[in-house]
Amino acid sequence: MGNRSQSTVPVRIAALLVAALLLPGCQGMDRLEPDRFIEVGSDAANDERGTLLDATSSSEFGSGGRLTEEIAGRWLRQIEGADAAERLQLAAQFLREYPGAEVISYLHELVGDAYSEVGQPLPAAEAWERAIAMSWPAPDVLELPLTNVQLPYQVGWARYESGDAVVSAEWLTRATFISDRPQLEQGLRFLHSELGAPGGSFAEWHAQERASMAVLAPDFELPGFQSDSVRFSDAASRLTLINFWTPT
Amino acid sequence: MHREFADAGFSVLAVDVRNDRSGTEAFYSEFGFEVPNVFDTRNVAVAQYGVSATPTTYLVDEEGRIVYRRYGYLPGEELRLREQIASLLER
Repeated sequence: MGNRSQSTVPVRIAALLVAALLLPGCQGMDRLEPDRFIEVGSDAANDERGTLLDATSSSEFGSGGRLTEEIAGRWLRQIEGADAAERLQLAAQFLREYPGAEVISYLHELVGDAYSEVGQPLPAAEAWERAIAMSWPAPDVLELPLTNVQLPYQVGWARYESGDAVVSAEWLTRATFISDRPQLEQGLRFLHSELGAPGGSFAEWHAQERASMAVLAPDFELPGFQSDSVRFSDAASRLTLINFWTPT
Repeated sequence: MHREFADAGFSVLAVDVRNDRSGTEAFYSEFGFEVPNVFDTRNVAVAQYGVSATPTTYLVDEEGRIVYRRYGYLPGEELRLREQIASLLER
C-alpha cells in the first residue's frame, strides 16, 4: 500500500502477527482494540484483530538468520517477561542474532519501556520513535501510528524528561490529531507554561502549533454512488468527515 | 450527525473501498443513509491517505487540513466523535 515496497510487506505482516500474538492488553491511553476491522483490498481470512494481507505468505523474515514467527515469538515473550536491564540485554542479543527483527515494532516498544524503567528517557524516546516508524498497520498520511496511539504521548514525555520541552510539545501536539484524551491538553498546558507561555494564551499557542503541524487532506475524485463522480474538494465544507468504510 | 450539524457547516463523504453497489444500496436503504458515497475500487484515496483498514475516519477543516483521525470502531465511539465534531464546529 502507498509507497511501501512490496518486498517489505510480508516482513511487516509477519512482524505484526508476532506482535498481535504477544501484545499485552490496553496500556493506558487509547490503545484501540478494533473488533471489526477489515484490511483494504484483501479478501484474506480474518482473525480477531482484522484481516491481514498475505498473512500466511511469509513464514520467515530478516536479513540474518532464519527468523520464523515462532522464534520471534519466543524471543519477544522472553524479552517481555524480563526485568528492564535484562530486557535490554536480550533485545540487543536478539538483534545481533536476527538483524531482521529490526522491523518488529513491538521489540522497539519493549526496549523503550525498558529504557524508561531504568531512567534513560532519551533512548526510550528514540526506541519508541522507531516503534512508531515500524508500526503495522503502517502510519498513515499523518505519519502517526494507527493502533498504538499512546506511543506519541510516551515519546513526548520522554523527550521532556530528557530535557527537550520543545520537541516534547511537538509530539504531544501531534498526538492531539489522533487522541482526544484530556491528559494531552493537561500536558500541553504544562509545557506551554514551562516554555514561558510562547504565542500568548495557551489556546492561541496550541492552535498555532497544530496549524504548523497539520497535514493537508489529499484531494481525490472518485465515482459516486448518487452521482457520476465526486471530487472531495468540491464536496468539502467547513468541517468534513471522510469515512473509509465498507458495507457489511 | 450529518443532519444534526449540517447547518453548522458539517458534511460527510463516505468512501466505500469495495465495488459492491448492491451492498451499498442495501445498506443505504436499510439504514436510511443519505450521505454522499464514492467508490474507491482502485484504492486511489486509500493510497493517498495510507488507510489500511476500515473504518478509518478523518475530519478535515475548511482550509483542507486534517484536524483529527479515528481508526477502528468501539462501542460508543460515535458519541466521542460527536463531541469532537461539536467542539471543532464551536471554534
